[in-house]
Amino acid sequence: MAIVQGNQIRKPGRRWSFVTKSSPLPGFRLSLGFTMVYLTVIVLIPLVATLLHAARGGFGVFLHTVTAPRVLASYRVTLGSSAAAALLSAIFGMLLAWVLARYTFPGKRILDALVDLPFALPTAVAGISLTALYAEHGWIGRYLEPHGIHVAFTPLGIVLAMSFVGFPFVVRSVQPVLEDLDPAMEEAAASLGANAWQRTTRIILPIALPALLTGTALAFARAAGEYGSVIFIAGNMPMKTEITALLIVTKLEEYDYAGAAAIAGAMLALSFTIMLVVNLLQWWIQRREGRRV
Amino acid sequence: MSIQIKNISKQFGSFTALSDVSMTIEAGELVALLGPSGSGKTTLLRIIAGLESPDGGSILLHGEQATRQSASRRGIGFVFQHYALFRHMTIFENVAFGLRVQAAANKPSRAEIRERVQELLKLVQLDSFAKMYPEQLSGGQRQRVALARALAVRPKVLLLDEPFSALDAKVRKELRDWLRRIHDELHVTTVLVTHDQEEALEVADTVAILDHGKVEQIGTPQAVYDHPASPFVYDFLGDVNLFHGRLLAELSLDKRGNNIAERVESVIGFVRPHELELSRDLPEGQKAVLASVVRIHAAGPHVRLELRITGNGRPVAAELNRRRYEQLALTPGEFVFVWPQSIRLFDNAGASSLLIDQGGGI
Amino acid sequence: MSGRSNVPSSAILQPTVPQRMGQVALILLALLFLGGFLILPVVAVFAQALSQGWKLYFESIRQEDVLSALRLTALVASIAVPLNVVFGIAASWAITRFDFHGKSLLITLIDIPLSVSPVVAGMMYVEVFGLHGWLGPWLQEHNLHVIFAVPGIVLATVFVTFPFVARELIPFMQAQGSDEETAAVVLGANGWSVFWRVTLPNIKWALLYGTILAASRSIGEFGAVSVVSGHIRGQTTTLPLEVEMLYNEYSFTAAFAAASLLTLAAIVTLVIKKMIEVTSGVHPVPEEEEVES
Repeated sequence: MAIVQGNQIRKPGRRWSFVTKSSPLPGFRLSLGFTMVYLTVIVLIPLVATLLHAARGGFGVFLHTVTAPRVLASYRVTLGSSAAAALLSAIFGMLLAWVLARYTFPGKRILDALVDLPFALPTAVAGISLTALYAEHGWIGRYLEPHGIHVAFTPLGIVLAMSFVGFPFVVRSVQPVLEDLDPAMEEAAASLGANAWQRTTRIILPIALPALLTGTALAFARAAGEYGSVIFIAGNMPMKTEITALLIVTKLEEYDYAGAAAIAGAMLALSFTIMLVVNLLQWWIQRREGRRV
Repeated sequence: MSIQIKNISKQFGSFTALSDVSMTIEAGELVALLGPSGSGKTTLLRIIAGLESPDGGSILLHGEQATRQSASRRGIGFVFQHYALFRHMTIFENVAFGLRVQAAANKPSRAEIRERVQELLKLVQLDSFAKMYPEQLSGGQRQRVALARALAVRPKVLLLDEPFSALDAKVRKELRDWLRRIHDELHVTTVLVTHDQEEALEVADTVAILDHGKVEQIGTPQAVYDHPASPFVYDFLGDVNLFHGRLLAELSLDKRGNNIAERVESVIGFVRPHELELSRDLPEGQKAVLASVVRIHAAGPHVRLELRITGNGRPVAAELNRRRYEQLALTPGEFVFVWPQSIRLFDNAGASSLLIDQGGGI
Repeated sequence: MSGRSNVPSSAILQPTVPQRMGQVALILLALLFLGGFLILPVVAVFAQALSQGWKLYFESIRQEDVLSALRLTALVASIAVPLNVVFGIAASWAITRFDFHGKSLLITLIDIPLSVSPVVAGMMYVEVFGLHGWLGPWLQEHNLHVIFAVPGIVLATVFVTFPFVARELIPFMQAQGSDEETAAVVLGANGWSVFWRVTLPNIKWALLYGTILAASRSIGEFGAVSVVSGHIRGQTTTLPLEVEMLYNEYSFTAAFAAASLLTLAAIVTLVIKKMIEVTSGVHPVPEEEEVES
């Protein structure tokens, strides 16, 4: 943007080159400044502090810590259970999203509201409650135990708890896509001769797929980091049913701050990877269809 | 394939969309269903397509009962107002869709499908867009793809639901011409729903005008324009100009002598703007009203004048060709005599119409 | 989710009898899931809490530890939520009303708490404010306690809840556009006037919705608070932590009694959310979505 002065053309100073478009609205400096300070104090500094601590002592020490047998076992437990939970979440989440988006039935509003229950319920409450239900004499457990299905204090319990907190992500990702699906597209498909099955598999599911993937990725991320819902039902036996988050807490209680930081660093790496994957998914959709999922 | 519509009725809750509608569409015709929103035209189209089922009446396609047949089996092609392209598929895949979902027995081979798709894309002049996604195309291009997609399965009937209303005026005109040319080439029975009378009158072989769920008139474009059956039709088929066009001079008439039935107490006369004569001097024996010129719109092929009748202050819109306008050389504020060359009278019931020819007095 | 159900009246989607049966089966399956997976845990909480009678229930709730945990939870929420509301408004104002470099980075930073494990979140604050953390020595010098004290709990809670308000407001304000505010500025209103008279009334439902989400999460946060808290009964124990402690001491009934309070809060949250959705058409943003920058 050049300023014409007399018959000279001068470029303005670099003062507000930060702002690409000038706006008549007030409050830019104030709002952005506050936001940046807040984020720096609340997010950036603690994040950097953790990463630095994790890296202190060099990569070799870091690697050694995060690949200790107990830690590796915790990865296996955590990631394995998270993957299973993500899969379960995908299946049931898809079912719920489909039913909520496409059908009307008595109790629909209640079902819709209850999908958010795992978001609203404190994780500790979910934890003790699920344990009570699936323990040997629990309301559900008592029917499963005789058949040799042990849920409480086993990896199965971990998967269960993780699914509980994970499935809403799938539902809330897929539901809007199904709801916004243009009925005209289905009608067009029908007018072209497609039967119901073909319409579902060729039109609806492919369009919902990216949302399903996104929701599943988020369910996975939540499951991997979950603490409160899991530690009660898990049993927490090292090498067997100990999740990585718990391992961090244990190390802190043992004053092994370096170890805790290292494992936290590893978990952060996972978190960022998943965030990246989700963003890539969104970008792919944006490119193909010109809009977010 | 011919279409017979027999006594179709449809209600949505307490709203009557269609009320005992009957008509016949000959094979190979291009029929426009014209009417304002809520007239039932889209509902009728969707019933023909099988996307809605009627409460009463029947649809026969080529003489055969189709009323209970599902939309996937009727052999129709449907083009939607907002294209309804499959946004997760390429243009090629969109057009190929109808061919790919056919039952294994009838399904063409991959090579045949590819050939057919390319043929159609060439027909709509989008062959270089085959690998792109709908998102990357303009509105007019998307609608052409939608047309190609509908035609791919060689439908016996082509149905279009306000296909151009979401497009710019210029693109609309282009596609309109396009549609007519394709129809002339392929001779598919085509039904077009539109609220744009210019579109209907320009494109169709036959126009059916609907209002409030009933058919007001069916005929060739010329017939319905020159001989409107009711005030509604007359009013709806206004001037082709896209300007607002409040185009009627309303003259309340008392009982007249001559050859009008005396039973009529008061009538309303409808005159098109271009049917009005203007003159500074009153010819001998000619009855006219005096009006003042309020505003002149001189841009364009015709000149529109806004006049105001001095007697009762009522506005009148007149239209002159340029030559006549230049002859008169009117300016705002001047006074001029106005009379109709021809006038159509409707009585209060709106039913009967009487035409008075040249020299109809006031 | 909102009641925007995509149920077209179109005849082709009128299902055949076998299709209808399939639909009913799906609906029943969904409702079964609802009942078994979601409602049962809630019911179990109350059942366990009341398993030894109402008298014992009320006594458990009235225990000093529980009451002080309740007070602390309320205190933390009443600090964290307003802070995050202010942040949410500031961030959405900056992001949706202006263009600037680094907007995507900002949005990513806001999304971070959602993909990070709560335990890691707590850890991050230990790294900065703990004894061996960056500010540790300085804090000790001045006899200020953050970790193992209330301020730490507040900080950890702020971290895990600050995205909620922002993520509700950003898409909402983006969709609304800035025309009204620009018109106000042109008419001569100053910054605060524009905000109070134009912006705020327009965003009030989305704001309320986000606030409810943030409040609910503030009350229920467990993992992050657990790490920074020190678990000092009567001083640094929030209600979720108290639930855990009672449970670990085998005071199951008391634990569930305390949990029942949290569950009630969760139910109230769900009801209010649904009411807002129904009356105002605001719908929740699926927790992960990238916001257009």
